[in-house]
Amino acid sequence: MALLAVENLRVTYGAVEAVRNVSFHLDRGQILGIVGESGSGKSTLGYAIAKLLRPPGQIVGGHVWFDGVDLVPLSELELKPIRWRELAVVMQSGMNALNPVAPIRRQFEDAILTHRPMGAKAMRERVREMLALVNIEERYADHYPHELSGGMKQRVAIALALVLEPKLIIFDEPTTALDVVVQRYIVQNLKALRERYHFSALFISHDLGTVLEIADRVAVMYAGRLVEVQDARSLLQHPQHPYTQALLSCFPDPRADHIEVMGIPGSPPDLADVRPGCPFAPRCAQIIDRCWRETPAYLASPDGNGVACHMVKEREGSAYV
Amino acid sequence: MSDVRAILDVKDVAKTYRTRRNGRWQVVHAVRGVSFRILPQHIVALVGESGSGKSTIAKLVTAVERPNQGQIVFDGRPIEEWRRHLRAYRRQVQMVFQDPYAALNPLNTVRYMIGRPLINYRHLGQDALSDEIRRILETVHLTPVDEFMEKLPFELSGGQLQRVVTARALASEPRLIVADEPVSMLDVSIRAEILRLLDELRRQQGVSLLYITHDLISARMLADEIVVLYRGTVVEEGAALSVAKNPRHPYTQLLLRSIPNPWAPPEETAIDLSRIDRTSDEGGCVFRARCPHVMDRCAQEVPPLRRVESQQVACWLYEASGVAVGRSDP
Repeated sequence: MALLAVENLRVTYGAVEAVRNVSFHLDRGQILGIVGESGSGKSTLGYAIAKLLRPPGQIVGGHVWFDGVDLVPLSELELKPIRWRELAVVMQSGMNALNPVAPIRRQFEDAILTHRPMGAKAMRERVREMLALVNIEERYADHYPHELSGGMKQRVAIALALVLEPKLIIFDEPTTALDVVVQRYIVQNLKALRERYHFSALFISHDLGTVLEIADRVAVMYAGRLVEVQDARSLLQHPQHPYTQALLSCFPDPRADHIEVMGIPGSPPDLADVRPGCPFAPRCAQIIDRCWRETPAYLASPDGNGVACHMVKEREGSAYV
Repeated sequence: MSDVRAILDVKDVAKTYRTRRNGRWQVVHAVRGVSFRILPQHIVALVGESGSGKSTIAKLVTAVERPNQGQIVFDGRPIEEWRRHLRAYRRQVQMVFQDPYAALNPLNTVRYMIGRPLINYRHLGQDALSDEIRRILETVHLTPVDEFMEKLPFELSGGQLQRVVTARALASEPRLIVADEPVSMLDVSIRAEILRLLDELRRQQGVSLLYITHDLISARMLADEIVVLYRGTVVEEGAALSVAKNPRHPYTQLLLRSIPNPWAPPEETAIDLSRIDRTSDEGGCVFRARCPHVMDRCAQEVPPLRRVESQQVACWLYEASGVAVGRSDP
């Protein structure tokens, strides 16, 4: 059984549907990257799965099966034993998610005491161990967040998410807003942590290059929908959806002799403005008539890969059912 | 040095700020003796991470801040002279900012925002004004023009807003545009078209560009030359392609390695995780605390820029092979 199975999930903000009928699953020990540009609904999806949406955002349909339990109907009280112990979240710029008036140590202790209490001595040991995991010296445990650099704060946020060894961690843009060297550091550090703790993760980011480095599988979102899911390796080699292909071309190999980035003309659609047809059609270089009339369904193959594109369907026909 | 006169010549410029930390005043060296020049119609990229001093240099070049040391010469006249003609200076040196959402007044239409510099700097009358606004909007490809003239910022996408910001910078017919991270707030899919626009402006409008970025790849795509900054110091400079593809300085090498690269085998992008939080004490090489090749000498003396093949590199590793580059001021 998959650790996480999202089924026909729909999220709205008032009249705007930000997540439209999204389905995917995440196997144990895997990292699934969720990639998309601003307004694609990727962060909303992450928040919906963690049940952290704030009004007017709400789940209006579908299921989030986490370890066999549907999280959608659960109350805050029912969610409490799951939060942090089973499912933790690292927010976008974790630096802002830390409490600015509490030393680092207290933030760990708060999490532990709320969700899985232990003795003072054990707690002290745990904090030391967790900071060591992200290469932060123990003396920083008694510092305040503002005394740490942005990269250190983000590593603290990651260690904090790991402190109770959850089964699933949702990372929302964990490397955005960090310097490129620090990003590289976080990615490398995360890979090492995953070897040791075998957690599963959703890694949400606009940065396809980073996602392809860290994730086992990648889901590409556009205008609130999944447009493609594939193994990271095969997505890199054989992207199916024209949007994935175009997005991939925005991340050139830095060692290449010749680099030319064409970008994608136009801009993403306004989600409030619902039209028939494929939402990517106005920017797509490979359209056929049908793309203007009919929204392509997301068709998944039994291995969990899938794509939502008329062209791919015409080309491959039987591969997706 | 070349016979063509530089449009901008930054000579050994330094800027310090005083900040209070834990109740004690401290001097922060934001820029330490930086020199570079921009030739007419050229694009120079200043590449660096946070704390490198790149935005401070933008403030010095645009005469928002004064340097503590050194000189900036624009079009043959020192900036201190230009300060007496600040209006003329501002007309010729314009800025494009990082965040187009914050750089435009949400209550003003596109027509108004492009019109202001035309009235203020070029004193255009009502008849000429509309035509010129249309021409400038066409230059930045906000077409059909009539669709955009009366729009307010909230009605435009990020890429379109950045075109408005660029159009506003162009309106006064500047000779130099300082663009501080003009694409980093935009989605990756629309960055390329803004970079293409900037390149087009240089070719067709003849402006020079100081492109400030943290992104080595975009610097390589857009600029003629790259100047790499670390903690206020130029550590490497040279032709854009050679700096970005074959960097010599250990810091530039680290930058290149750090760029997400799913094509490369992991061992090619792996970095040393143990040094990242270290900062060097004053004196010696600014990068030594994080440098994998650090030697005794690095703590004792500041490495000068030396010519290493086509680049200039400030690193003691190249002492034997390099030729020290002295700055010969006319």
